[in-house]
Amino acid sequence: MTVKEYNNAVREFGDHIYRFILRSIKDSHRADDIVQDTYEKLWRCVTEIKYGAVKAWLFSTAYNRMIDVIRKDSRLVGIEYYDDSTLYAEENGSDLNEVLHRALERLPAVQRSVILLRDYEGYNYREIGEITGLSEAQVKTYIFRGRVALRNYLVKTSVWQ
Amino acid sequence: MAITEDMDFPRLTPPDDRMPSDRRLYRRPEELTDDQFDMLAAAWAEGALTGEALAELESVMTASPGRRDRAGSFRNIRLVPDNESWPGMRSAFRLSPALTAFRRSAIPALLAVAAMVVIIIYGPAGAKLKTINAGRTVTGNAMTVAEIPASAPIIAVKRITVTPVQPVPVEQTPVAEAREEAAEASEVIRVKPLALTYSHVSASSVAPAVNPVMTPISIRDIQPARTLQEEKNWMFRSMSFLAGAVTGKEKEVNGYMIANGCITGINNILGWNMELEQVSNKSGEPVAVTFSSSLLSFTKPLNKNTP
Repeated sequence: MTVKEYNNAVREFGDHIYRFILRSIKDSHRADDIVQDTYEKLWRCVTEIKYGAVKAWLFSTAYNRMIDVIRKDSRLVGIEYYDDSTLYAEENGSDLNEVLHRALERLPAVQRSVILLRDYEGYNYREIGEITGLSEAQVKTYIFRGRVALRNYLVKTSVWQ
Repeated sequence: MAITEDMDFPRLTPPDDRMPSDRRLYRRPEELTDDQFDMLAAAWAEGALTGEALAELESVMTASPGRRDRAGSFRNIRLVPDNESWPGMRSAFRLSPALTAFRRSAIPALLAVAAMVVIIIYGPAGAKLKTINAGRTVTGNAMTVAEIPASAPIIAVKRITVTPVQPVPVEQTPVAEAREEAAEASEVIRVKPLALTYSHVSASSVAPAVNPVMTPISIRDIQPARTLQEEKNWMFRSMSFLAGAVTGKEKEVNGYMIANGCITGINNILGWNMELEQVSNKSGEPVAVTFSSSLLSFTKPLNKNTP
């Protein structure tokens, strides 16, 4: 990858990765740091990566970095220990997309990430599996469970009657 | 349980027993629980169901309008990204090596040149030059000269005989010699810096007889410096004159000022943090200079013979 292609990758994918990380951890400073680290890592191996594969590489690297940060902060909520009581808080918002994003924050980190990759970036199950290190079947399961949780949130908060 | 007749390799063969109530275990698609249906509906909304699974779900939806609506609601659960933009994007861009080299070398050089041009045009020296040239037509090949102050630093003596009729040829000597010959009547003249003493040769068209003090001196009258010390003294006095021309102030320049100016310039250009301080005694006379930086610090006493 040339310097020009690297700069194109910054321009083209920077906002996408930032949104993905920001929605995953809800911390703009940490999201900025993670994306900066990701591009710093890309720059260090800029000659070894083809431009065609750089988007998936960026998402994968940013995702793994984010998981490290979450684990370091002990904020990773496993799906087995997920506290369902926090899911159905009082919801006053009326914008469906806004409510969905608030519901997303209450999902486990892995479900959140795979749904974001699916909806924001349109990745297929295989690509999401490559980014997150999950099998295709695991990706499907996380996405379907996440959708059900989001729907239940909308129903129980009276957004959907 | 039957045993094969081959006694060398006996094997167990499964019996033909049948579960009597297996019919009760069969399930129809309509019997899916809500949780199970939701998982299928989520997959269906994702477009991940094919074949028999899709057919079964469709049959359930056909049979139950409520479940059809429930499955349809999953199609609306799609996240749409907002317009957040990455605030640190600008810092992630990289310059090509050529552009980096250009930014590090050419831009500071251009800025320095621009600053010098501004100082020359709008600074005190520029104003002074404008004053000199006011009301005078300058020819195309003329050069700009600065005004020579009346109290030029280098002093020479022109010896004059007392005899009223025949003037004696002029000869220049240093001040020390002139004092030794105090018995003779003498007239002190100011010797101008070397570049200006050539005015009668190269710049006569610019400043012809502007100032009576600027009496041209023949280049043959300029004696070469006899010692290295005299040469250094001449250089410092010339710098003093140039500094006065640029700043508009007749201030004597010493070695400390020059060194301090160089250090300040290096600090500004390279971002270093070097300092040079002059240490003075109670009467205000400089006695030493102190240099300090992150790598080296020393104090050096001043040599009083240094100009």
